[in-house]
Amino acid sequence: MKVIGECTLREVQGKKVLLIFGGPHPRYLEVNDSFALLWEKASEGEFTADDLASVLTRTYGMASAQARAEADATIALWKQHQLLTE
Amino acid sequence: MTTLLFPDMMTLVRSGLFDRMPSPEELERIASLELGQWKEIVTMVREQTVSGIASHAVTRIAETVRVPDSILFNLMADAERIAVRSRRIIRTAEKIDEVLSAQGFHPVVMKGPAVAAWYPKPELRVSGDIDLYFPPEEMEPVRDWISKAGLPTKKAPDGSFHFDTEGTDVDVHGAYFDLHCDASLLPGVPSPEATLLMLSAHILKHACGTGVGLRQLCDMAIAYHALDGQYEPDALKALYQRTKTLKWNQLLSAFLNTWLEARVPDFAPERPVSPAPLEKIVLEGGNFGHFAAQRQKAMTGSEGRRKADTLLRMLRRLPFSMKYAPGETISRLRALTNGNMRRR
Repeated sequence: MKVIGECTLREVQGKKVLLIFGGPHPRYLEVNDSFALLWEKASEGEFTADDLASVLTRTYGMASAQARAEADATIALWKQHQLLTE
Repeated sequence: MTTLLFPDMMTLVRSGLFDRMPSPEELERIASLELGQWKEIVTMVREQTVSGIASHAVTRIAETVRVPDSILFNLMADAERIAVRSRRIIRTAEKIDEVLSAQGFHPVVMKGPAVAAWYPKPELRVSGDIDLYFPPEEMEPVRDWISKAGLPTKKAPDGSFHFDTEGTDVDVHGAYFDLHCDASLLPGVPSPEATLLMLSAHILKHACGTGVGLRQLCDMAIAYHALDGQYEPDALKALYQRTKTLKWNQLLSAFLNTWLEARVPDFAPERPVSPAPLEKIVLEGGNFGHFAAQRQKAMTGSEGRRKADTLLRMLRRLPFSMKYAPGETISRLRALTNGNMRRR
């Protein structure tokens, strides 16, 4: 899977914001550090849930099962916000 | 569109257009805006197609005064979308210019992509399409070359033609000025005087028709700013006089100086000129009058309905047109009537 191209991640006044400018109305999501980290990984190209889980394990020292659960939850959130192309 | 917030909106547009921080008094006013008022301002700048410029201002202002996050981030998202499209259009215009110049033609990129280069952030100037001018004798050879290059062209009744390339609409014109006067009165193209007259006449045409918004007025202001020192104000005044657009340009300057603090020549009107008539047109309909009451309904209707609505709006605007550009208005109406009679 891939993330949509019409997005850009910015840091503004200490907050991380995903600016989404595709679609009929530009919008934004205020995101936390782990979202931003996973988004940067996903923006590199095709990715899987395991790819994202690896990032979490490496960065935060998370156990594999927990990292995979977090990755799945993040992907579900991205789907909910129509940020993925399959 | 609300008039009460117009001054605050113009503070932002002015700031973004000329990359100037608002005054302390203006910042205090901006800081006191409530969320609902901010939302109205965002709607207004979108309808005027200047949200990229406004975003630039708001991003800077937000370092000094509190701007609601939803406003700041939504405007930043607007700016990203505008920038992606504008960069593509600017690149396409440059490519077309290069390719056609290499063939021995003499293209002049007009309006949007040309003027955008003068903006502090060119990519934040909303561009819809590309307008190209060629000397009249090159129009058919250019059209022929483009068709042979595999791009279908569509000719318009006025002699211009249209083609699409790389997802962008391109309009090709053999007439540089939206004016109906003797060609011998007009300056050579390209030149600073020609650019200023072209932009001014384009705004006049739309102000006398369905309407015009801030985007074109910002273009005029930035063009005067960029070309300052390259034209002689008295010579430009004489040009406006010859082309019967002096009174119109005095009104336009009044608006640019009042609301954009553009510091353009006022062309010595006999009495102070109020920008109110042009403010009214801008507020009424936004970008090319698209947001005027009933206009959007007409735009989604049949071609006959659109044309009828356009004609009705021109007729309603006649008192304005006859006051500020009577000579040009009469010539335009004569040309329209002759054109319609020829089509029959």
